[in-house]
Amino acid sequence: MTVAVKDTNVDDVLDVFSVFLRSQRHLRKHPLLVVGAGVSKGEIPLLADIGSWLARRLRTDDLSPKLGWLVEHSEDLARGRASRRQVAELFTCLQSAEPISSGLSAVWNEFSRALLIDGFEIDGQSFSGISSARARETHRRIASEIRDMRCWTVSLNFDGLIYQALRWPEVSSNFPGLSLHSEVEFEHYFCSRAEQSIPAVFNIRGDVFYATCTQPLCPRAVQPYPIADDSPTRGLDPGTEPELPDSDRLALTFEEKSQDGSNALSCNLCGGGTLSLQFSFPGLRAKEELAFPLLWKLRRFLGPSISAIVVIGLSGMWDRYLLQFLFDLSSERRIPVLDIKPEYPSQNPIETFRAAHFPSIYSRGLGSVQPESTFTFVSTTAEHALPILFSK
Amino acid sequence: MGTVSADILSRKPWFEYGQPARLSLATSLDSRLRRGRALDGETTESSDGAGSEESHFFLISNPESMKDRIFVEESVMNRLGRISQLGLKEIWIGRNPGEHNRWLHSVGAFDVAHIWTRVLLEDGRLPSHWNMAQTEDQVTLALNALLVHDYGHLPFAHLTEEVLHNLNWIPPAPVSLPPGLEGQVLHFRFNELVDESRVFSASIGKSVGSTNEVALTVIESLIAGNYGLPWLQTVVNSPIDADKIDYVHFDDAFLGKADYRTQTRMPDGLGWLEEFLQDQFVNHAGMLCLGGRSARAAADLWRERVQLYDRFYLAPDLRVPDRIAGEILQQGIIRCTLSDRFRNAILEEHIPGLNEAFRQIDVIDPIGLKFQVVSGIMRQFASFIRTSDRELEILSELWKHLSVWPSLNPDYVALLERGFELLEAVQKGRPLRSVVETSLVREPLLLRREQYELAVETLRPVQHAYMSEVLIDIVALPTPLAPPRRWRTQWGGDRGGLDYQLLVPPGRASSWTTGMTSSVPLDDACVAELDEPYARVSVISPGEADTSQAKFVWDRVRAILLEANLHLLSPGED
Repeated sequence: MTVAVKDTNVDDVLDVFSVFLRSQRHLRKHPLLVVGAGVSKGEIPLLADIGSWLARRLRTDDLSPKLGWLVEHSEDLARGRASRRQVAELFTCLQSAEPISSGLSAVWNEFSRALLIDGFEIDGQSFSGISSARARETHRRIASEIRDMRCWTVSLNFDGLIYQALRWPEVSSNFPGLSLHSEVEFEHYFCSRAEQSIPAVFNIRGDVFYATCTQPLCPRAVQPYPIADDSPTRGLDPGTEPELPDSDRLALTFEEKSQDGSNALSCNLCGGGTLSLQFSFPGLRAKEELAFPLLWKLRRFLGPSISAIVVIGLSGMWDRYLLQFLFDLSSERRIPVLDIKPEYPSQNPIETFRAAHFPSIYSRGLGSVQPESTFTFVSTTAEHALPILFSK
Repeated sequence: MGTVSADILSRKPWFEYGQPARLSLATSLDSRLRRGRALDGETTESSDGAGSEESHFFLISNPESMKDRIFVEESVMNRLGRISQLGLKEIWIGRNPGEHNRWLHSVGAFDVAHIWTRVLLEDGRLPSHWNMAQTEDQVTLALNALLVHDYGHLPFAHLTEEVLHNLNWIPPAPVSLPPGLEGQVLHFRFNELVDESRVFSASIGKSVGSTNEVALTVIESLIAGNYGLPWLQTVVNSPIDADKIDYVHFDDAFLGKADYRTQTRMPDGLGWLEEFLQDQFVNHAGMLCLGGRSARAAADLWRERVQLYDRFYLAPDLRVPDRIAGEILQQGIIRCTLSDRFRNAILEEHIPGLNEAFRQIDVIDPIGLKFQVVSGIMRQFASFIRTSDRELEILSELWKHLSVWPSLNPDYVALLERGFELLEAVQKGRPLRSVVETSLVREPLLLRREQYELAVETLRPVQHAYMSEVLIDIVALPTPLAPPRRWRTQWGGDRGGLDYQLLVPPGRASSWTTGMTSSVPLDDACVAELDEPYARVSVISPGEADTSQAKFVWDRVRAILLEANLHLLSPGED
């Protein structure tokens, strides 16, 4: 049974959590924010939106009848009924380096370009391409707390909007902050001899787009590269010219056509190859294998510095490995988990997972929060919750 | 202000005066010694006048920066002063147990931490943009934490914990406390101070701009290894904390005096500390970074500590009398907990009304109840100590009642009697080695450390079967780093392990050289070569090691271990 706090109790619960977080700051402990796609809803398409687009596009394609299941899977994804297996099958087939149909390759290229650059419209809602998406109030609020060193933040999003928000002038007038993607980058950050700290977002390989170059000699042909949060001018007010943190990031070439004139994205490193996008979709084993070491690395560095786990905008449907990790962490370190979601689903997948696998982490309602393994779900928006949580 | 036993203050300071000027913080010790003389002379006012206003506080430190910040209640000092640092071991090696007690050790750890933190603060080793006033407040709490870090210790040092582990009578501790009996007693005693409005210093709260309750929470958290600022946590409870630095150094010197030499790598404490402090700083993430010289000195500390455990704390020689004493203590604890009559006999005559107090204890769960009773009894036992024999006095009292207790097996009582006679003989001057020669059956059996738990459970029924013939002792040598238990993740396979809280040079400890910079987190792998990953099984038959029955049991123990697929190591086998 889902024990949730709704409506009028929400502010009370958040207020109690806020007091708890403040008390933990005396012990130099801060909450670990785990940010899912929900915080970018409306700005960046969710998986269901992607499913809708794919279903519509695939229906117009002259697909072999044998591939009719692709449309069915896309439709299930759009309606929120797809299983992990279905999603894995769908994306594996679409982005395969050796597609079973040449038409699928074109669909994937078109989708990649639409998602990244051109944008698209689904069910009356239009999305601009990720490269022109802008950080919202929630992203800025999280960025502000990161800058003030009042939280640790793990992002599972490919949009890079928190990182973008870190660079907004009203948040930070100095260095824009860091977006870290790998074990090596995490370790380098914590083990640096630097005296001055720089706020950082820790990106776990979640629903991330990675790119590889089709030119075999290109360095990017070897190692998939995250294309998320690197467009240096994206989302900035006109006239501001931030420092370029990394000039060879792939985002710089989004506007370019590939040499063969197709809609495919070109690689700006070798200039001759076509970028093949790889979406780390839910259920992909490689994704989970890569995500786990990152989470563990973070866990060992942050260790006793985590006061609570605050999950924001994460459905929990697709990331069982992450839920396993978070509840293990909560259980071992005796830290409370707070789940914030705007809607109140009839079955919260995170709560269902907890009840099935971590019954000793009990659901709590009102009352004081202790440094114990507990789970609380509040049904409200991040815009509403974050100011209260960090008000003290 | 009450009087304090002179032996508490007779310890020489960790750092002698007249040492290099950059460690001039030793002035704090000057104050302590002056205060010590004042106490000897039964003067109630401290040399700086602080005592007159808050007479129940004992001012330890004098430097202006610390004035009014470091306070310890006298009752804390007295309690700690009654507990030997090494338990009964001090008697076994022929020393007076009062020479090294928990209070002296706490002050020693404070001294180390005080100098360490002043060097970091005043020599620009912390990030310059940090709020220094706030950092000073945090340091204040850390120093207070070191003064009271052993306040949860009860008589017999770790022997009581061993007994409770053996009986499985330790309930899980809240995350904010150190685990085990020590952590829970510490929490109980802190609460006692709060309940009686005797929070151990009103000034602590003021100094951090917060309440006493917050200050105590921070102190408990630091002691438990659960604080979020890595460098400060490192000073209080970590693989290289001030506690370890003090006890390793002091025990080395102590053993030297007792003609129990261990060829120390730290003969000159101050020299070692100077080296240790040479090359370290705190980075942006709050992690203490040990450069080449500092890391090498830390490795020496770890080597020394491993050696002390191997050759002294858990050496077979010392374990023979410890195991005998532990058996008597265990019987005493069981009888006191489960028998009203026994508890009446042993405690009521000393503390009228005690039984009624025990009946008031809330029953949370059976283990919790037993644990609370033991905790209460042990705290009462501490008040038995009246002579310099300390814990041996308690043991004598327990034995006096156990030896005539009707429900004990007479053969078992005879075994304990032989054991207690040997302990008394050691106290009266019989060389420990001769006692060991007549009690340790053949040589100890060696196992890998990871098989320790299995060996304990395998031999538990064997101990029951031969309870009237022998005592079986099983010990595991600790890992070199010995971090707070909260730092270690037990699951996760290769990914689990130690929390990353301080940085060292890359590579193994033996490859660290002067000039190397810290760039990797300290982990067990860095010090794997310093480890002695063994467990030892000893069979003890007090005074009758050479009998055929004792040798038969030794053979049975060995055979049962082999039957359980436990790999026994030959001497020298890695």
